[in-house]
Parts: sequence; C-alpha cells; structure tokens
Amino acid sequence: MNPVFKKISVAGLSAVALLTASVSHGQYQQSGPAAGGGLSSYQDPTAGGPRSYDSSEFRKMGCKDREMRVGKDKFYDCNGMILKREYVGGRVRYVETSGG
Amino acid sequence: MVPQHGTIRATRSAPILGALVGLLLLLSSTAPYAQSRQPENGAAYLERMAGYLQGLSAFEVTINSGYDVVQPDGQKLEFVESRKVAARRPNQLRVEMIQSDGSEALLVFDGEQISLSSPADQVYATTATTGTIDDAITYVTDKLGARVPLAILLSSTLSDQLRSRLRQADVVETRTLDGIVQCHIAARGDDVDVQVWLAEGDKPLPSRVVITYKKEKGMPQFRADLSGWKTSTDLAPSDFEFTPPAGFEQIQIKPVIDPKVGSKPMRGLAQ
Repeated sequence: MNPVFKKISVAGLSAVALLTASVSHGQYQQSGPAAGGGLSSYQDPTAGGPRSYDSSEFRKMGCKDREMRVGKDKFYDCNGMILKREYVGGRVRYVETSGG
Repeated sequence: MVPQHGTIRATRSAPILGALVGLLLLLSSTAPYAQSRQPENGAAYLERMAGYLQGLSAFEVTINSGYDVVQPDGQKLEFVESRKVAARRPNQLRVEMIQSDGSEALLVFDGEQISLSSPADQVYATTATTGTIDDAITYVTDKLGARVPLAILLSSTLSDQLRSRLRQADVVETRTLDGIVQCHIAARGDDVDVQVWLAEGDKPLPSRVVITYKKEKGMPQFRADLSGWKTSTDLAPSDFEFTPPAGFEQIQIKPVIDPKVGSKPMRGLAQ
C-alpha cells in the first residue's frame, strides 16, 4: 500500500483513518470473481484454505534464510509459523502448515 | 391544408408506430444469440472473430489486463498484469506473465507436460498431462486452480462457447484507433456482460475485451487490451520446450479439490 496516495485521497480525515489506511500490502484482497477473466466467476483456490503468502509478502517477512528441509520439501520457520513453499493456484505460495 | 392534414395524421400515428418499433426492438433484444439473422448484428461479428481465431494454426498476442477486486468494505481496487501468449495448435502453448506485484512467471505446455516457473523464487514445477491446448487449459484452471484470463480465445470451440454462454450481441458503434476500424460489440449472458472491440476486415481480431460480473458484489470488471497480434508466426519448437534454468529448485504443485469441477462442461475455457 502506498501511504502517500492514501494520505492524499483521504485528506481531511482523522488520524485514526490515516492509520487505518496505512495497513500493509497483504491487508488487501488481491483476488476475486473477476480475476479469472472468463465467462464464469473465478474461485480463488486459496480462499477457505490455510493462510498463505505470495512471494513479495514472504520477502517482507524476512524469513528467507530460515529454511528447513524435510525430504524433498522446503519449509521456512517464520515468526512462529512453519511455511511450506508450493504452487497453489498457479502461483508460488508460502502456505502455513498445521505444524506451525 | 393537405400538408397540415398529413402532419396531423403522422402525429396521431406516431404512438402506434413507436409502440410497434419498440415491440420489434424488444423482440430483437430478447432473441437468442444464435438465432439473430441480421448480417450487421453483433453475433455475426463475434462468429466471424471466433471462426477466424479457431482457424489459426499459430498465433502470438500480448494481453495487458486489469481486474477489480471488491474489498470486504466495498472499496474497489484494480490489479493489473501482462501476458504474452504464444500458441501453436493443436498442443503447444507458452504464456509469459508479469503479475500485479511485478513478479514474472512462465507456463509452458509441450503436448505432454505443463511446466510452471517463477524466476523471483527460482523455482519450477512440472506435471504430466497430454492432449490439446483446450485440455491443458482445462487442466490448469480446474485441477491447478490457476487463472488463465481470456483462455476462451484459445479455444478450438470458441464459436460454440460464445453461442452457449451469451444470449444477445449488438453493435454499439464503430471507431478508428491507430488507423484500424474497429467494431464495438456488446453481448449479454446470464452471469456476465461482455464487450469486445474487433477489427473490421479480413482479420477480425479483438483489441479490447471488458467483462462485467454482474451478479457479483460490486459488479467487478475484467478489462484487457490485446496487442501485437502475430498470426503467421515463426514459432520455433524450442519456444514450447521447458528446460529448468540453472539453480532453480523443483517444488510441488498443490492440486485443487473442487467438488463442482466436472459439473460444468468446459469450465476451464470459460472459467
């Protein structure tokens, strides 16, 4: 999220509103029915499943060096969560595992 | 006196004529997409586009698209992305993507295997599947849950897809952009409204598509500009081969378990 843009767009609102506007990138939903570009609504495969993060979100979490290998799979110990890297919905996601 | 009389008669008959014209327009607008017979109607343009695209043995196109995501509080945000699509029928496809966060990704189908790779993460994944481009797209969208915007344009059954999914298509206007005369078509389906801008002439290629999901909250839209069409490409076999770049790790693909998959024929292409 670009806080400068939000400050311009919400000029005149209270400081509380500005703080609310300056949430992190991951606070916004980036997928929805129109994302598929088809004649039917798209259903995000990550919706309703375990929480996951895309590559840019993961990089901001600063856990890239905290990797663990279990067999062929690579996991990351990230702020108390164990994340597994895999393709979900055609994109690389870092998925919270139940062991986290 | 006669002209005045005639004018009065015309005025008196105007409501009746108006009603008749209105009735004709109403009948016209509710006629099934497939049954429109006027040569100038939108359905004829879409049929011509579909026939042309289906008949191409190979093509390339760049798709710059954006889609709305309505947030829980109602705020509508647009995310943009770009794709370069190369297809060679019956069974080769390559899609290079630059996604909304700037990351790049690649999808390659060589007729026997689908490969995905992500340079930002230095990873790739492969899954075996055989068949046509249609089959590959259905696999990617239904089993992997991936988005392939405007996949329907790659379909070998595009004409049938449009006929079954859209009820009505009309010509809105004609415009000239970059020296190319284009026809603006507005079509309606049960769940979506679709607008397509098509080139006039012997290459009726789409240059813009807008889809409105009218039954979804906030009626989000998908918008795409299509450019750089090449219909006589010199695509090399190596364009559809995937070799993992040095240093890239192979990771797993998590399949999507969707109980509804299979209940909608050709969901993958229509998504």
